[in-house]
Amino acid sequence: MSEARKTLSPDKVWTIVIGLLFLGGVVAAIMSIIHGLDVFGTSNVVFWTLPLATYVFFALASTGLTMVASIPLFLQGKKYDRIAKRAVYLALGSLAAAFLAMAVDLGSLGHMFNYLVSPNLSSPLWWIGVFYLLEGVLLLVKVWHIQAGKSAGKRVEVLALLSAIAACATLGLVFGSIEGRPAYLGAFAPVYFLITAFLSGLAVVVLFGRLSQNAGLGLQGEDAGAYEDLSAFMGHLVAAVLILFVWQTLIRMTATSAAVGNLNAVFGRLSFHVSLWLGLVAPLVILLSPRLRAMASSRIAAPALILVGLFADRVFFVIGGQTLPLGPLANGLPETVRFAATWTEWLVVGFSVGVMLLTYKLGERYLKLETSG
Amino acid sequence: MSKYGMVIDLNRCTGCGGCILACKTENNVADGIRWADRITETVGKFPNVRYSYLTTRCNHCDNAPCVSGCPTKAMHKSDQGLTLHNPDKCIGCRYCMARCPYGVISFNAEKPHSAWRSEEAVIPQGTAAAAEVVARVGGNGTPYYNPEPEATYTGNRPRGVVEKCQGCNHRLQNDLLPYCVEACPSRARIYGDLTDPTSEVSRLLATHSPMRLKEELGTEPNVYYINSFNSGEYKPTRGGV
Repeated sequence: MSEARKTLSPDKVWTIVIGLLFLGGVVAAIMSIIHGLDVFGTSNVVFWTLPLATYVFFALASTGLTMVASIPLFLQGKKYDRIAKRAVYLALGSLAAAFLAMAVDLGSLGHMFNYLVSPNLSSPLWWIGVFYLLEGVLLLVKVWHIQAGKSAGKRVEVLALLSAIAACATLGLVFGSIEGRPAYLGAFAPVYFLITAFLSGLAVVVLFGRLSQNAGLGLQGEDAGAYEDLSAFMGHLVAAVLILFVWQTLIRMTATSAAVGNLNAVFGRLSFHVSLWLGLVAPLVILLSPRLRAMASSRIAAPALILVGLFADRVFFVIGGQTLPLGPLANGLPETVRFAATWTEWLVVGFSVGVMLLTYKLGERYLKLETSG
Repeated sequence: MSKYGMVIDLNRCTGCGGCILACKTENNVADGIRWADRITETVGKFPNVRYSYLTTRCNHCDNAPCVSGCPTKAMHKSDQGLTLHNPDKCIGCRYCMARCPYGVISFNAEKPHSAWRSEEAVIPQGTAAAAEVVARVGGNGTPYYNPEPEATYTGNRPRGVVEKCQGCNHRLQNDLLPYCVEACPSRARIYGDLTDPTSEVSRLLATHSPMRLKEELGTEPNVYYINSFNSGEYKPTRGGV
C-alpha cells in the first residue's frame, strides 16, 4: 500500500482528484434526472440553493479573471503578459464551471432555445446570457490568438473587458432589482459584485500561479515580481472588500425590517463567519505580515482562503435573500428559515471545482504561455 | 377590452379554505403547491390573542415583476390583465419566484402527484394501490383529474417548470367565474371587469375603502380587500396608565 502511494506522481494525483470530482458531478446530474431538483434541496421558500451560489461564484470569478487579463491594457511593458494569458484560459474554465453548475440546476434545460426565440429585453437575466456569451466568445478569440502567438488586438481586449464588467454588474442587477427582497441590497449588489469579482479573479490567478511555481513550472524573474505586485494589490482589495462587507453587515444588523436582516439572520449563519474570518480577516493578516507573506505555504493559503471566503459569501448572499418566507409560504414557518445543503449540492460544487482544475492542467500543458504577444 | 379584478370581502370570509380546495381540484394542483392560499397570523399573548386569516391568490399585477423578469416571456400578461404562464417556454430558472413579492409562484421540483403513482396498497389485501385507482378510473396523474384547464394551460404541469394561478382562464373564456369564486360558500370573493363602471367589483371599490397587498412596491395588484374583519367589542374607555 505504502509502495503504491510512493509511486503516485503529482500528475496522477491531479488526474484522480479531477476524475473523482467529475464522477461526483455525473452522479449529481443523474440523481437530479431521476429524482428532480428535490435532490438539490429546492423548495418553494428556498428555491435557489448551492448550485446557483456556485454559478454566481464561478461566473463572477470568470469576469474577475477577464478583468485581470486586461491589466496589460493599462500598464506599460510586458511584465503582466504571462499572467494575462493564464487569466484568459482560467476565465474560460471558470465560465464553463459556472454554466455547468447552472445547467445542472435548471429545471427545463430543453426549453433553453426560448432564450433566443422568445427574448425578454426587460429581464436582467436575459442580458446576463448575452453578456456572458459575448465574454465567452471573446475569451475564445483571445485563446486562439495566444496559441497562434499573436496579439488579439486592442479592440478585442477592450470589448472583452467591457463585456466582463457588463456581465458582472448585470448579475448584481439580477439580485439587486428584486424589490420584494430587500436582503439583496438593491443598488449595492452590482457594486459589490463588481469589486468582489475582481478580487476573486486576482485570487484565482495568484493561486494557480503559485501552484505552477510549486510544480516548478514558472515564476522566474519578471514573473515573480508581477505576482508580488498582484499579491500586494490583492491585499489592498481584501481591505476594501472588508470595508464593504462591514457596511452591508451593519445595514443588515441595524435594519428595522426583518426582510433586510437581523442579528440572528447574520450571525447565526456559518457562511457569514467563513466569509468574514476565513475569507477576509485571515488573508488580510497574512498579506499584511512580511514574515507570513514570505512563507511559501502562506502564498498559496492567502488566495485559497480568499476564494473559500468568497464562495461562502456567495452562499450567504444568494441563500440569505430567500430565508424570509413571503406571503402564504410563511404559514407554519419561523420568521427566517434555516438552510442545510444536501450532499448532491456539494457534488455540484465539486464538479465545478473539477472543471476549473482541469482547465488549469490543460492550460499549463497545452497553451503557449511563454511567447509574448 | 375588459380587465379582470377580484374583491375579497374579509367580513364574509370565514376562513374555511374552500377556495383553496376548489382551486386544487379544478386545476389539478399537485401536493405541496397552492394557487389559492391564505396568510395566517396569531398576534398577542393569552388571554388577549387574535388570529387573523387573509385569503390570497396571485394578484395578477399590472406591473408584474415576474413578467418583467422572466427571460423567455414564459410569464406574460393577457389582454384581460391576467398574468399567465407558458410551461413550454419556461426554463425553470425560478427568477419569477424570486421577483414575486407575494410568494404565489411554485416550482415543480419533482413530477407532480407522486402519491398517486404508488403501487403499494394503502392497506395490504384490503385496499387498492393508488396507481391502480388512477388506472381504473382512467385519470391523468390523479383519479379526479379535470381536463378542462387543458383548453388554456397544461392539465398537469411537468417537472422542472414553475406554475401559478391562471385566474381560471379556461372558465373565463366560457363566461364562467373562476372556480374559487364559484365555490366560496359565503360569497366572499367577488369577480368582474374593473373597466366597467357598472360591474359589481367597480361598485364595491367605489363604496368601500379597499386595501391591496404591498401596494408600496408599485406592482398594482388586481386583488382588493374590503371590510377588514373585527370581532372585538369594547365598552367606551380612555384606557389607563
